[in-house]
Parts: sequence; C-alpha cells; structure tokens
Amino acid sequence: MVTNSQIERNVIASPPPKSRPLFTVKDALWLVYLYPLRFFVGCLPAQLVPRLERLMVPLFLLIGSRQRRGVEAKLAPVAQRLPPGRTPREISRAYMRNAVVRALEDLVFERLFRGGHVHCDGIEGLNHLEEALSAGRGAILLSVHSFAGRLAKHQLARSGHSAMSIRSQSPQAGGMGRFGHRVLQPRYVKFLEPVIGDEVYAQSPDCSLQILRRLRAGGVVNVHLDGNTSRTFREVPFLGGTALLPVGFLDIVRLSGTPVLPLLCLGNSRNLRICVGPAFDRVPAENSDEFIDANLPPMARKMEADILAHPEQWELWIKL
Amino acid sequence: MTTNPDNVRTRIRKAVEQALGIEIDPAEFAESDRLDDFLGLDSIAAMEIFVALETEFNFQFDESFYSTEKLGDLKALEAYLADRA
Repeated sequence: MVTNSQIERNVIASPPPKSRPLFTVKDALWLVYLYPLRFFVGCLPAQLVPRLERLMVPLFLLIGSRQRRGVEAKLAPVAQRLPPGRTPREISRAYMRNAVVRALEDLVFERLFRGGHVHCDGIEGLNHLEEALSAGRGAILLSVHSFAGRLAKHQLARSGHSAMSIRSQSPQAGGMGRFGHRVLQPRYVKFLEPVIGDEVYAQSPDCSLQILRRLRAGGVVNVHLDGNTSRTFREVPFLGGTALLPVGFLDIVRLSGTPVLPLLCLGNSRNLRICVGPAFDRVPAENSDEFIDANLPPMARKMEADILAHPEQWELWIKL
Repeated sequence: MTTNPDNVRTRIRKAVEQALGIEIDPAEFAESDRLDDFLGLDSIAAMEIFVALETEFNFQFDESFYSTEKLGDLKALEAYLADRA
C-alpha cells in the first residue's frame, strides 16, 4: 500500500562535490573505460567483443567482490521470493557478468545494430502497444533499469516505435571523486547520448511539455519506475523494504489519458528478449494524490515481480 | 469578435489557480509580465497550466507553445489566447 506522504525532493542533482575525495578507485575504472578501453574496443570488430567479455568477466568478478556482496545483501530480504533454485550468490555473479557485457556492448552499440549482431526474436506483446497507440494518445512504456534496456529501446525503434527516454543530465555519482564528478561523469553522459538516443533531459524546464507533445503526436515514452528523474516521489513497499518511486509521470498520465504498459527487457545482444504487457487498468481520480494512490501500486507490484523473476537483469541492486 | 484582454487575463489566472491549487493576488497577477517569474514554474506545473488553459479556452496550443519560456510570457500568452477566446 502506498503511504500518504508524497515526497518532494531534488534528487536530480548529485550531492555537492565538496565532500568528495579528489580521485577514487571508481574514477580510475571510469577513466580506463571512457578512454583507453573505449578506443581499444573501437578498433575491434564488433563480433570480437564476446571474446573480450570472456577475458573481462573473471577479472571483474575478482575486483568486484565487494559489489557482489552488496548485491547478495540486497537480495537477502527477498530470497524466499526468488525463482526456485536461484541463490543470491549465483545471481550476484550473473549480475556482475551482465554488467560487464552491457558496458562492453555500449562501446560498440551502433556497430552491433549496423552489423546485424543483435539477435531478437521479435517483440512479444507488440500487439498490446499497437492497440494502445490506436487510441491516439500515445503510450508510456513502464520499465525498470535493466541491462538490456538500451538494446530493447533501439530494437523498438527499428520496429517503428521510437521511445523517448527521460534522462538526468547529472545522475547521482556515488563513489566518484571530484575528478570523476566534474570530468568523467559529463563525458559519460555525452557518451551515452547516441546509445540511448531520443531523449529529453529531466533538468529541462520543458521536460513534461516535451513528453506531452510526444504523446499527443501518438508517440511512445519510456519511463523507469526505479528512476530518479522526477521532482515528486512516493514511498512504497518494494523488494522487502521501501523505495521512493518517481510519480511525476503519473501527472502526465492523468492529464493526457495516455495508457501505460509494462515493458520487460532481458538478455543482451546475443539473445535479446522484449515483452510488452497489456495496459494497466486506469483508475480515474479527482486529483493528483488520489490518482497516484490508485494507480501506482499495481505498477510497482508488476515492476517488482519482473525484477524478482529475472533478478540478474536489474541494474539497480547496486550502482556500479 | 474582439475580447477584452482583462477578461482573458482573469481566465488565465483562474486556470492557473485551478491547475496548481493555489490562490493568486489578482492585482499582482494583472501586473505581471512573466508567469514563470511569478510562480517559479517547474516542468510539471507548466504542463498542468498548459492543459488547464486548453480546457478553459477549449482549444489546443500549437507546437510552439510546448515551451515553458513561451508559456511563461504572460503578455504574449494573453494576446494568443485573446485570438482564440
């Protein structure tokens, strides 16, 4: 059940860099990723990237042991709700592997699609999306941050349904030092522009109006229910604890009448799976608070169920 | 048909009040040039006002108005809406 307290906070900006050290291990890893590794991988044929993955995954399992333990700790409260036979230890290893694969795929993203290296057997439930769009009010695809999300978005665009993303221009940079925050993070945001494509920055004062324009033109917008690109949040029970989920998009839904459909993205470029579910039932309400109270819980439950069914695919067990 | 701009300004104020659930001093609003200076519009509030104005004046804004900057210019907004009122 949703609590009654609507929480407003400015989480779009990162914490002030004053309290950060100058340079951290995370800065070093991002520096290597954004410069020497990016240039090196840029010279490799895209089909050789899987070989690089095989080299890098064991290395990251070793140096990322603290992160793996962090994932296991987050999985502990929901261990009973995981699919049969799956353990936090095994999931945390798969999570690290998926993180490495995605990081490398981002480096060759355009070439993966151009070279026909992305294998996806169609989009399950595309009929749900097309049915929703036929009402003429656009569609919001609601998902969580999954490792396959960027690939899925491009695959959707190739099927004629380019989905606008809402992105933070200065995402939270936990673990980064002042150097990383000031130099590497803006570079990474820029680097991801062609990877994510079709985006609007949450910091833009026109963000909501741009989303509304897209929906009224019969287009598609992708919203992450686990994102932090909103000014209003609700605290809801989530994954054995509570989470602050962004609810600004529900004001857009209320005002535009746009249907919201769940989007599940799984796998990687070698076995991409995309599933669109039927639209959530829309519960009308008098005002914003009541609309959120009535419509957020089923959406949160569906996203939680998707995470628990495919826990190794969810990016945000921890922020790498 | 011409419309009294004062009436349009009043209808804008009422639409803004309804959209944001606030009360605005009519005199202060009548003298304001910019809605965003007056209210400190954020992205969602701009959209709420946008939709409320469309409902109040029973029309749809054209493409150029999907902008807080444009929407915030009260004089231009008033002239635009006067043509459609």
